[in-house]
Amino acid sequence: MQEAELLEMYQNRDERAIEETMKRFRNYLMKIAMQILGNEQDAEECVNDTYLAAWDTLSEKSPEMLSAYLGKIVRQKAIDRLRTRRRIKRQGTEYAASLEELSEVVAGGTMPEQEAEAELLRQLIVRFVKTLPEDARTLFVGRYFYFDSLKETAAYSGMSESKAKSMLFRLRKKLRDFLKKEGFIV
Amino acid sequence: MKNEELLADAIGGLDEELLASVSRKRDMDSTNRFVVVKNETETVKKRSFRKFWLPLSACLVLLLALAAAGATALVRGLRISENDEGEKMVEYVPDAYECVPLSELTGDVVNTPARMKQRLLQYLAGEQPSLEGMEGMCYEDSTGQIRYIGEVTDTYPVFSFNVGMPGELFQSFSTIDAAEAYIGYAGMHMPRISKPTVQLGVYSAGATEGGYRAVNADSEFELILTGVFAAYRIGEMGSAVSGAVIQFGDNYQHGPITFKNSQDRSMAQETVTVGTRTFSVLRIAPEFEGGCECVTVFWDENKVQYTLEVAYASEDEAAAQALITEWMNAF
Repeated sequence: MQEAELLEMYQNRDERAIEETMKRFRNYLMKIAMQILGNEQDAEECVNDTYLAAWDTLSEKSPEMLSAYLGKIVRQKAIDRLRTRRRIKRQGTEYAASLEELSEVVAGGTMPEQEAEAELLRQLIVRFVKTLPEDARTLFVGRYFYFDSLKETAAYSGMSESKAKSMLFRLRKKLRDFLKKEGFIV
Repeated sequence: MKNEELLADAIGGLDEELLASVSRKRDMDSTNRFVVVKNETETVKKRSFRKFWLPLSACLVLLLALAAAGATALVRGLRISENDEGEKMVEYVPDAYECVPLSELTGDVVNTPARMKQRLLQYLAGEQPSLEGMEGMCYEDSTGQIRYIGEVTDTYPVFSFNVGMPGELFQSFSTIDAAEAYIGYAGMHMPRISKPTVQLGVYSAGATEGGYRAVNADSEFELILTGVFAAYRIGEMGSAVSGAVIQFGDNYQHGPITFKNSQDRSMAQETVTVGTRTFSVLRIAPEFEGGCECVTVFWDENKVQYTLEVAYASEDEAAAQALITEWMNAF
């Protein structure tokens, strides 16, 4: 079944769409949730919430790529779950490792928490990622959006782990300089 | 909330357009691993997708461009030009565009149109080709099921078409002698390199009326191109693919090997003479600091077009140069 057909099922409120989504995307969504939560049961619940969110939203939306759309939902749900429960067992998860790396970008600075400023920050991140060459973009998104391990990210970016590591280091520095220039890190 | 969490949230707001290309790469690599099947009795051995597939993929792009290009009367050699959109184009113009008559082939490759048809009927019937006789590349999907190049699946239609359009076949061989014998063209002499190959085989392309988008159970294929490809590893992340290609078919015009430098990387051309042969060499600068250097060497003889594509990290330059020199001396 093509993605367009699956989206059409959502638009027609055909419940088989959820079943098909589970069949096609469960492993993909579980992987993202597991990398953030590190707990299978929590991850499974997030993935189930994602199916429901897809059911609620896809009757009116037609995302360009369904996997990316669902990936965004599950990522946010998993992060929210981690924060809400406050039983943060981050140690050992790829999310924890990614956050630690990202802390270098914002070290010693203050970041905006107001909603409007957070939206501006999101737009700046989009602008930053758009300027990156394809391989660097793949690395950045793989590591900090999907929270894939360094090894995996390096593999699908077509480079060695050491090369990926040094490139990510340069990317974080570049992002820090960019955010400083834009006044987001004082 | 901590600063890094705010930053992670902002990254979570990347738009789907930006995520799409990365998502495709992840899907292809992290949930699917290529495996090389030696034969049906040997253990299936997992290989890294990028190291083995990309060099071959690059060749296929090259070949398809070659098959699609129109014939033009140009002086032999390498040319870098710009198209109407200002993108840099590279063309290698061989000595002649003559096709090899199929009657000059003595190998089994002449039977590939029938195999292409058979494979097509298998796809249309939803059958998995049997492992026997299916030497070549296949991959393991996220459920652990072995799938085959060219198999059109619901999950990866684009992937499948990129890898194996109807009318494409790839057959693995363990030696260059065996691969050349499968083609059986006396004018072909694939350079022998001392390094072991990590992948070796014959790629064949067939054309059908209306193109692959119009294929149906009545489609018949005509062999238009075949070639031997051998992949070698250079250092930790580099690779080289040596190819020897011949073309057939009076119904198809064949032109120069053409490809586009879509990344706008700087390119330089030169010629290198070894003995009586003058090779054309194209060098492409890395896309980013620390990226791969790319060198492609072109040569044609007896209606066979030879290419060597090399991509290597700067620390492996000596090994890459040694392989290029050995290749040039192996004719």
